[in-house]
Formats: sequence, structure tokens, C-alpha cells
Amino acid sequence: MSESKTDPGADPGRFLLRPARSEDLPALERFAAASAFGITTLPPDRALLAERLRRSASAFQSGDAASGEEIYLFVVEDLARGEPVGTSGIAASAGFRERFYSYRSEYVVHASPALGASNRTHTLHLCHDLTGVTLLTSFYIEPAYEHTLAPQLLSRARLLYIAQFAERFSDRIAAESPGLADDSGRCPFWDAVGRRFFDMDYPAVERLAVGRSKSFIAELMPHSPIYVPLLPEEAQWAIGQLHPVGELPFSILVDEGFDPDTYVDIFDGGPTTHARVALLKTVAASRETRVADTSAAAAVPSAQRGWQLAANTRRDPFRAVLLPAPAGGERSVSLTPEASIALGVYAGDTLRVAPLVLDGEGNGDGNSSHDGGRHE
Amino acid sequence: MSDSTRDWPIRAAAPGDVGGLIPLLPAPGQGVSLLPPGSGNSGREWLLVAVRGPGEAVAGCVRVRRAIGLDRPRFWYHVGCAVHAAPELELFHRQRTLLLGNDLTGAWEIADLACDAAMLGAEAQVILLRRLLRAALALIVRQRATGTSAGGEPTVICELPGLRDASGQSPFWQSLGRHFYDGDPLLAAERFGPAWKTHVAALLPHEPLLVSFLTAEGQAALGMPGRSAEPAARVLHEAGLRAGRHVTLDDAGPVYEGDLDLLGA
Repeated sequence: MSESKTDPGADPGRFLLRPARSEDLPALERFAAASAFGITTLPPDRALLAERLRRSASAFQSGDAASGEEIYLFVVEDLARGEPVGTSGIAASAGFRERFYSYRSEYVVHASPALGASNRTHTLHLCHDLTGVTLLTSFYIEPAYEHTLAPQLLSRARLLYIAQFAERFSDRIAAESPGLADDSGRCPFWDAVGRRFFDMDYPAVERLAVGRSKSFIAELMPHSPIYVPLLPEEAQWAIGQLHPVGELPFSILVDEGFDPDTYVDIFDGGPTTHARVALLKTVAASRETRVADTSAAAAVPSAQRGWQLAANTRRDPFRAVLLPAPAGGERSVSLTPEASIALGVYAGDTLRVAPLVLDGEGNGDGNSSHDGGRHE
Repeated sequence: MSDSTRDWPIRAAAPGDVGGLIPLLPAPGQGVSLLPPGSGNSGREWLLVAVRGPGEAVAGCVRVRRAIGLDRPRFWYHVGCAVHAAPELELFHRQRTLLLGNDLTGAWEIADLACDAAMLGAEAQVILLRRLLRAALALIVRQRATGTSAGGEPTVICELPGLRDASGQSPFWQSLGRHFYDGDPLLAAERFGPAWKTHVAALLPHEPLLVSFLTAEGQAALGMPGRSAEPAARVLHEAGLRAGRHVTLDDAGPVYEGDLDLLGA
């Protein structure tokens, strides 16, 4: 990594994850405008975004008895720039008052001993399996930051929040990823499946789903399984295929241990990843520790041993940053004054930390990520 | 020998008729006799033949089966309907569905209603088929009144061959069945006879299918009799049987159904 001040990747310590606030509205508008893909929970609409921020603020501030309706919105801030450069969210309970629909991939094996033949057929079953699970949503990172550790903090620190306040979330977690569709609205999976029941193209049904619930539309779909071999080849191929814009957040979740192969979106066939929260890499490796002191010298990036995620243990304001990984055997953490201020913690306070272990040289495989919507 | 098919006698098939039956009937399958077990009258199955005169060649035939599907499961597709409606969205979709099942189990079956098409003109064929069908229905009525199968199900069915191209391929099979059995359906039918449909049913989807997922050709073939079956379709219709809500599972040929209590046979 270069130490140039213009390279945002030079110092991962400059990134701070925190709850989104009403002042972040202009930044969210910017993200929403840049992420024109998918059914969006970040609609490019100032009033809707402001409502979303209000809803998130009340989620962070809500009492101990969570209703499941909460939608938490985070931003990652570049402290050197003093403004958000990405956002991510958590919906406490998928579907909440409604059923949350997915297609579940199943394989049926049929055999005819007399004919000496058998087959293994891929089928898609409309299901509500993921209703009520916690849903990761709304991931967006500015393109200039895709190759930094900011997206890692943005995606994974959410998991520390969930681990810390497990009683507010399901023990299962899922995330929708965008499927294949092109700019003209052609979507091979929708065109082969949903379109048989709705005479409208994919963008039209997405607009419909913004105004209404997705389950309303799902309830008009046939409830018998789809036998995949009967679909056109292009649609078969699109099942579970990720749109390139979703590559970065998807790769982070798969690295965390999310299963990408079981569920697909009922509209575009994109993968809906899911996992048990307790088995996720960051959650399983996380532990509580104590702040030993707040006068550590800044680490020299080139001498880094690697990084760890560190979060305070407060509901609001929740804060998370990247800290140098411990040298080994340390039970407590020494913070620089800057990190202490960013996290809002002092000597003696509790932190939840988890190692950030990345494959390869560690910046994800960073395709662009312009999906600001319900998708990860 | 009479020149008119109106006068040709119809009688139970005998072992000596086998040679004359072979050109009329599909291959029965290995190890299966053309003739019903028990020389033409097993109480379960009957084969009648029309001959040109005493000692003359076979010119047509018809088979009757009682209480089908009780020894070996029989399968058909039920053609149903699914409606997806959302008045608020001005959406109203009516779709045909296919569901594999054994709905017609226990019915009487008229099968192998055939005549020597090469030797007979179109009108003579229809006359002979009509007589064979009447003879078959009369046999059923007799059996229901007096035979070992007194009473019995009031339903009688007759499967007709569906649309096929010149090489014998069915567009319906191309659209559906081949995705689940990659063998040659014609070879399998030749090898196993009618039982092949029972064997292949084990490989086919058991959940309802939306017809709209088939190809346009496959959809168009649903319930359509093949050209060779047109005379038989005509005489079945005349006798009061109707193509019902079932089709055969290999080529989607129509399954004619009638209620014996209403046919007045």
C-alpha cells in the first residue's frame, strides 16, 4: 500500500462505522443516485430516505424489547474526509409482518428400475423459509473505496453489532444479492418465470414492488415447484447467478460462511445467501476485551501484522473501527487517542473484537458495487 | 367372403389370428402375448377380431379391459386449470396445468381399436371401427350384467395416439418427457409394450406442471389425436364418448371417456 495521503487505502484506521444520522441525508442521496439497481431500500427520493433515517434512528434508540420491525442503517465514514463513503443496513426480521418469499433449490431423484434409468432434477420451491430471519441490506461503497478495507469494515462490523445484541436479532441471517438483468430491463429468470403470471417486464414489476410488498406479488405466483429443465437455457443458467455489481458484498458474505446455493430470489433468480449467525467467521471469532490505555503510538502501516475489527458495546452510538491485530496473547487493547475518540471508549471500557482475516492480500476481489437496494 | 365390412363377422380372437393381428397392433412388448391370457376370455381382458368371413384374414380388432390399473399402476396426465388473479393489478391469468395421476384406475378400457387401413377405404374403415366399438361396448354391458365383473365401474375410457411427426417423434414428449428420461421412447415402448408408460411415470414430475412451461409445439399437441387416430376419434364421438380431462403421458393423446350408464349401449 502506498502511504500517499490521496490513497484512501493507505490507512484503514481512518474508517469509522457508525449509525446513520439525519445529517447523512445528502450522502445517502448521493449513494442512492449512484445505485440505480435492484428493488431499492435506498430509493433516490429525499423524503423516503429521510423516513428511512428516522426509522433507523428509532431502531438504534428503541427499548430493550425489540419488535423485529427495526431496520438499522450504518455508514462508514472516512475520517480524513469527514464524510460517509458507504452504507449498509440490517433488517431485524425479514418480512416482519408478511411472509418472506424465496425459491428453495431442491433436487428430486426419480428412478425406474425397469427402464434402468434415473434422473436428478433441479426444482425450485416457493417457500417462506427465511421469514423472520435477520436480513443484511443496503450495501453501498463508493467506487474509490472498493479496494480499501472500508467495505470489509462496512459489511462485517454489522455482524459484531448483531453478536453484541443477539436478543434483538434472529439466530439465522440472510442477504439477497442481485441477479442477472441488463440495463434495458431484460432479466432472463423473470422473463422465463414471473412474466408468465405478470404481463410486465422486470423494471415494471420492481416499481410495483416498491409501492407494494414483494409478498403481495409472490402470492400471485404458482405454488407448485418449477422443474428447472423445462426453463429456457438462459433462464436455467441465471438461477443463483450474481449480477457483477453485487460481487464485492457477496464475496465478503461467502467468506463469512454464508451458503450461496440454497435460496434464490423469486424475481431475478439472484442468490439469497443464508447462515446461522453463531457460525459466521467474524461472530465465532469475536470476543469481548478491555481497553488497557488510550495512548498507544500510531501503528506504521507497512509494519502491519494485519487488522482486527473492534466495536464498542453500546447500542447507540455504536462505533466500529479497524485496529492493528494483536501481537498475540494480549487480553486487552491499547488504543491510539484517535481510535479512542472514534470509538468513544476510554481505558477500562469494553470492546468486542474479531480478527479480520482475508484471503490473498486482503482487499476483497472488489468489483464495483453500485447496488444500493435491498440487495447486499 | 363379403365385400361389405357391414357383414364381416366379429368374434373372440383365437391363437390362429396372431399373424393377422401383428400388422394392426403396436408391438405388445417382450414376453407379452398379443392375445389375452386364457385364450380370449380371462374375465379381465377380451380381444375381438373382425374377419372377412369364416377362416378369412383379420381385418380389424378391439380390446376390452376390465378394472384397469389394479395389477400394474396406470398413469395419465390430468389437464387442470389454475387461475392467478389480482383485480387491483388488473391481472387475470388462466393457465392449464398437468398433474400425473392414476385417476382412471378401475375403469373399463377399450384399446387397440384398429382396422387394416391399407386394405380398406376411409368409409369402410369407419364402418368397421364403429361395429368393433359397438361389439366392445356390448361385451362390457353383458359383463356388467352377468359376468364375473357384475356391476363394476361405470366409466369406460379409450386412449388414442397423439400427434407425432413422420419419424414418430411426439412434440409433447420432446417438450416434457425427454427432460426426465433420455432414452428413446419408441424403443422403450417396443420393448415393454403398454407397461412402458408405467415404467416411465416413475421418472416424470409428480407435482403439478404449468402447461405454459412447455414449448409452443408441445402445448399445441395436448389432447390432439394423431392423423391415424381420426377415424377412431370419430366413432368414439358418435358412440357418445368424449375426450375428457386426461391425456396420455407419452404423446398427450386424448383419453376418451364415457359413462356406461348413460351411453345406452
